[in-house]
Amino acid sequence: MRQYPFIISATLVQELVTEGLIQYGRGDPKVRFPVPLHFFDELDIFYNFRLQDLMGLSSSGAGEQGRYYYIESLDYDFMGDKINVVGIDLQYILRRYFILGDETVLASNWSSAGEPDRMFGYLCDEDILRFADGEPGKALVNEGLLEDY
Amino acid sequence: MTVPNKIYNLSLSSSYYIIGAQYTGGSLIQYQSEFSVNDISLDSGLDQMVRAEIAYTASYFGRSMVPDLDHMHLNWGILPDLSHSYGLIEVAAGASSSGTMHLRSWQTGVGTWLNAKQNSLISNGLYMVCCNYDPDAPDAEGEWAYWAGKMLSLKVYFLNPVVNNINRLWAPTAGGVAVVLTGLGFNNTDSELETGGPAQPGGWNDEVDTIEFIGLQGQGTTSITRGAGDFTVDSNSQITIPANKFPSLSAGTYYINLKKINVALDDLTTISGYAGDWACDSDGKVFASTRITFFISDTHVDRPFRTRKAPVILSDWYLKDRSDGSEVMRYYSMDTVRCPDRVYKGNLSTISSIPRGFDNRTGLFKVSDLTLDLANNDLEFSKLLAGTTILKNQLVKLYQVYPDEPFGWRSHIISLIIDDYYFEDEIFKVKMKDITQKYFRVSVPREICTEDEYPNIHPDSIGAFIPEVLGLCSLTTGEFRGQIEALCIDTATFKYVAANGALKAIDQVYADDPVAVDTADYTVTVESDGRTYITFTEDQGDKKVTYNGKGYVYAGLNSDNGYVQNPAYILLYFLLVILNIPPTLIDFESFVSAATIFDNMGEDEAGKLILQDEQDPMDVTQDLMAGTKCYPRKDGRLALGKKDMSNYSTNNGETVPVIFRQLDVVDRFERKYNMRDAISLINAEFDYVPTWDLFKSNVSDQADVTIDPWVFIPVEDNLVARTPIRRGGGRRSTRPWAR
Repeated sequence: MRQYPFIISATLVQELVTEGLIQYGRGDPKVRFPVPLHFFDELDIFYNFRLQDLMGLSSSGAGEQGRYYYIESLDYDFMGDKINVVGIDLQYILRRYFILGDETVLASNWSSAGEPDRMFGYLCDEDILRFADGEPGKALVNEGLLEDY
Repeated sequence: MTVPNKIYNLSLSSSYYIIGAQYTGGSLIQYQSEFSVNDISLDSGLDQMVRAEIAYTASYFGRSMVPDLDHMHLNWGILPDLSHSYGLIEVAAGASSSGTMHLRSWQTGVGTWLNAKQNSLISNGLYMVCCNYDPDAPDAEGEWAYWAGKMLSLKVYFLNPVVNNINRLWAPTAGGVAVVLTGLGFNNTDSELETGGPAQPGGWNDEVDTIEFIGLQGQGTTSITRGAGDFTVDSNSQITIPANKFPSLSAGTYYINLKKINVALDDLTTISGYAGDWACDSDGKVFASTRITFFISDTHVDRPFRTRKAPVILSDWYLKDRSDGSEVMRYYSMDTVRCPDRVYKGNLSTISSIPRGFDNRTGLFKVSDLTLDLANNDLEFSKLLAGTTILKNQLVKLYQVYPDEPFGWRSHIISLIIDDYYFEDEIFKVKMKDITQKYFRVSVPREICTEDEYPNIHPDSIGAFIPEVLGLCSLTTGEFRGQIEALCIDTATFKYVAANGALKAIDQVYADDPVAVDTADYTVTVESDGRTYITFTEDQGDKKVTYNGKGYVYAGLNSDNGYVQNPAYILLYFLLVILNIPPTLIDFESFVSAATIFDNMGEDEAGKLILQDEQDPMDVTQDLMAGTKCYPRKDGRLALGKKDMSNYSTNNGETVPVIFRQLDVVDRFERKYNMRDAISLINAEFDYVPTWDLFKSNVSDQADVTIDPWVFIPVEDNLVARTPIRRGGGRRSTRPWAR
């Protein structure tokens, strides 16, 4: 039983419960790794970072290309000249939404979109599930294709 | 846009805050309340006040002269000369009022009023007084009229410019680079300086006129001026020095000083502020920051951080001399390091790793202890301990700096206090702890009822905790009603203490009965000790008296309803006021950001707090999180954050760093999924009523199947893994009369 003794809003509690289910529905994904001490100024508790990892999970086999994490803890090892980082997968925030976004503000197509733009719902070709430049993407459901998959 | 400002608490200088007047001995005697301003001083770069706002409440009015006097007026001003601030607030008999009173910036025939009186304000404080009695003042022997009027806080606006940031921190000796300063107060809007008062004819002329580059190694001072077209004040928050105007400067480091010349003030016309001394948030609230060092060099280049050399660790020790209490500074590093104004001795030999972070599940911060090894071969510490120097509980700050960069660019690693120390052979070992921990080594609530304070106290109330109440607390249905329990402290006058502070309101009162007590049968007062009391007209005997109400008022943190309700601000109030953590250890800006997120969610009235049984502050902090995380910054300040779509792709406006696993990770890389912690269903209770040990309501949510169904699926969230629920009717309470 989760308890929020000092919240009086049912909608806020429902929001927190839903957030908890989404964040922990598939475990509690974290990454742990050391980086050189030179990262001192760039990393702090609760800061976001993006991870490029060829071995990261990706249906296309492309690895993680700048997946967002945020920092749960930092362990400064001055003798070892490194910082041990524990990062929490931030994808739980992004996968809650499929937002088409403001088309007057966002870049008009995928290839010219910046990374923040790409968090919005650019739709690719629903037949081949790829954008014009060959990158994989999301399409609105194509029932016929889903059966094939 | 706004004007740089700062909020100060006020406290009563006298022991009561009844204000009023009495006709006695043939003349009208006026009584006034006097308030001192806490923690106020004129600091470098924040030393020119322009106007101020006082948050006040006036809640009680009595008179002996019905119906002669129907209205009274409040007036206020700065002590000691009783020259008021040219404003009146009318309060009718029997009514209450709260809001904002202004200390004017300018007044006809007087000039720049507050600025001229700022020294008196700091030295003597404020007063509140009745005047303009309507229709008649007490004018017969023995006639009197009074009410309880209280000043809550003072918000002061300053004319000094505040620089938050500079787009670059170095330039070549030839100059020729564009520099942009961002901050606030570079050219305030006159009408914002004059809120609550008349406009100053001719305006204030408070635009930044001169920027000085002050050399720190004897290079002298170089000035550029707006009049010569060297820079433009683009807005109240931005100044641009174009590339072709940035001056040629000798190599070295510089401070940057912004000056306003010929400002329209009565006594002083030049106002200045060093870049970085103060910073401010989007509301203009200033906080102490670090003076910015600008670097002029032809050899320095903006190299990627990956190519920097190994950093140097520096430690500043703020020790104390027990003979006279004076500060004793010591500086140690791993090698002897010469810096502009100090030498770091090379005694430091080993530093244990410093883990810093928060628990993502509970949201609570965690900082582990740190051990430093210092070489005592030169008997440095043998001599230190033999003298009068105190080490225990003294502050140590750790920094790192890169060898080819200015000392002023050093980065704060962590601040700790010395917990213990000992010698091991020729090594002096020092154990240190997180600086904020000591503030959590108390229990809350902090105040109890005693017989000394309340001689007629009910025996059941002796030793009971006086409630702390924030937010909307309401329970008006069911068998048990009233969220908070009031404590009988005077059996002779049937008086109960409701809260340790001034409540916004008490909505219903119950006395062992689901039907609320008639409002004619009790009165609610906020008295000179700052507490809220309920006084009945009849004896309630041994009945359990409970009530619903609206919690404390705190200017700057209030919701639109006029009292503190935002979950982020309730936590801030708890840390700042109830735990009494110094403001210098709290990152206010982060709390404001978190509060804005709740605001944007439409949940800015969703928080509350009732403390009436003994609790561990860490438990309370956890309970107040509401999905936020509390974490320690590098400089030791506690910050609050909440991740959402508004902040996932930046770090306080800065670009998110990219870490390349194959390039940057220097050892084993782990990716864990912690499937043991997977959750499919969460049941949650909320809005706890400590008086009756019950949660008012609950919600539940279930996710789609997230893992294979033949594998064990936890069906209940186990996130709140802590001591058994303390809701057991004051099980942890030390109250002898625990339910």
